[in-house]
Amino acid sequence: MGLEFLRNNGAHRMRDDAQRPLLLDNDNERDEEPEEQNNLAYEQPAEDWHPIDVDSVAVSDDWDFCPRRFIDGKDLGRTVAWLQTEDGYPIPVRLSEIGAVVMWNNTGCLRREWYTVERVVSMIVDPFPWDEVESFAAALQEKGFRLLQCQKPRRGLTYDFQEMRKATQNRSLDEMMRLEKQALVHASATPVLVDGRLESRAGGFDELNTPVVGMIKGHYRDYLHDQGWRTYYRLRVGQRTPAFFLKQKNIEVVSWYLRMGGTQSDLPNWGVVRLEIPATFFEQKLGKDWSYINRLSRVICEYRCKDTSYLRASVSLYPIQRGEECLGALFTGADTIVQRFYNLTHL
Amino acid sequence: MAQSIQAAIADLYSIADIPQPTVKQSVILLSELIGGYNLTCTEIVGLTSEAASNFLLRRGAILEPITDADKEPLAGYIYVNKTSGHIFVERSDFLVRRRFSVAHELGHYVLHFLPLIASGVFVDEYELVEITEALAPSSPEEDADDLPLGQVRISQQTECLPPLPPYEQMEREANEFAAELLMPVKVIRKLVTHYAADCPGDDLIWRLSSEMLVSRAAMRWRLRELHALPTLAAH
Repeated sequence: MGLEFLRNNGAHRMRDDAQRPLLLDNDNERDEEPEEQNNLAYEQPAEDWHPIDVDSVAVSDDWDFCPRRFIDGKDLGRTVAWLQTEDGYPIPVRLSEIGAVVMWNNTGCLRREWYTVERVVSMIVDPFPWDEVESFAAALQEKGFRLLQCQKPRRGLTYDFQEMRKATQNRSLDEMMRLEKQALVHASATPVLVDGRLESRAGGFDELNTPVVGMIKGHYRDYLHDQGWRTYYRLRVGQRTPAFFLKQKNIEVVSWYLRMGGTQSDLPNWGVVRLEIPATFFEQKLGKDWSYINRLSRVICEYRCKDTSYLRASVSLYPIQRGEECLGALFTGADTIVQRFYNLTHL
Repeated sequence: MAQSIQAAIADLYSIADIPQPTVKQSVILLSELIGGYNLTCTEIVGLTSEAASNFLLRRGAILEPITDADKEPLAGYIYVNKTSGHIFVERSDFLVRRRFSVAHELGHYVLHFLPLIASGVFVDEYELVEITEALAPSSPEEDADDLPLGQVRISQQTECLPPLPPYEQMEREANEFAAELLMPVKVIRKLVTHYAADCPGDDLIWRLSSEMLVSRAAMRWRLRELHALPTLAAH
């Protein structure tokens, strides 16, 4: 059967991949950390929270903990087809190019130090006969694609296509983060900044010895108390909130919000990023040296993307933007790869 | 009784006339390897030996229900007589588990049952010989760290035959066969060499299990068995 698997199972091409709301959006899949294990009074008690100015903090050019390596990942793909199980459940097929890159700031000269790029096809395979999927996976492998088996949504297979698609997309994102962990392995000897949470990269670096920092642009969880939010909205460019402690599933981190940019006309939360460092490193290696957080915040503001034509400039760092561009150049291009996939699978 | 696992697998490839797996072609085509023998493979929801027996009766593959068939839930099952064999797997198991169950049953067929039949001890063409092996269900979690165990049964008429190896040995051999078939040592060693430095912790297991379309539990077991599990991945 091989590459005919999709066609033989009645797969249809999918051209319109615009995000749609869930059919039944009554499921909160996010893993919330137990709040009682977080500590918002880590640096300052709630009543003392106020913006901390880092703009005037002096940082020497040869500061040992200045991030020199920057890691970015990319998942460029879309749902290209869908088919149905015997019971009629819709099964989306996502085709992606995923990759990760290490950018190295070598005394002001930014260069690509390491990268990896892969083509993956992700779908839920369990409802199908093992021999057909095996043959499909082998045929894909021969053509340079890797089949990623997706887990069913938590509540099992569902007729909600968007939910099934989310499960499929999560799988390729998860694989991209594993590539970022590979990148971390290559970069972990020096101070390094990762675009995203440390939680999903835990294991890719030495928590005690690596000066690693995660930078999160999106704010999906409510970590703060009321005074924390009041402080958050008072942040000006070059100011941070007090640091707080978060116990996550795979790692304990010290985190804080930093305003890197934003103007009066933007949304009030635009230009604010959340930063994370391993609590073990901060406590045991640095002995809770708060000046480290100030200096790091200052350096990150310095790295801010100055390209105003870049849509996410106020929450992006220049090296990360360059990393994204590098990966984009290494990818084949969505249209080309999708057409190749259709040709191979005769869809 | 059992020939060497490596030799048995080499025979499989030779009979099926397909190339040996490589690092770049590491998903083993188990269905094609089975095709080299007079074996069928069927997926059944709610697999029991009774369900398998009923399936074979309906298909006319047997004329009488299988001796000792019962309603015990199973992950895999093989029925063998002098001319053919039928493998069954539980349809609702994870796909990667189903592949391992098939490989396990194929291991019994190649290592234990086929040599017995080929030995010529069944001189009477019409003598009824039935050998079955029932593979117990595994943990519902894909990551469960266990390997399947089964139970071989031989029909009454064959009890006078030279004995098969002890059941525990046959089960161990079938698991070793399945592991070597789906995760050949030569391919594993090369993949580990390629990925071990870059894939920290359990990522190596994730990566290799995805490359070879096997469960993470099976891959973890295999890497441990080959002493190829980096220290971090052991956690």
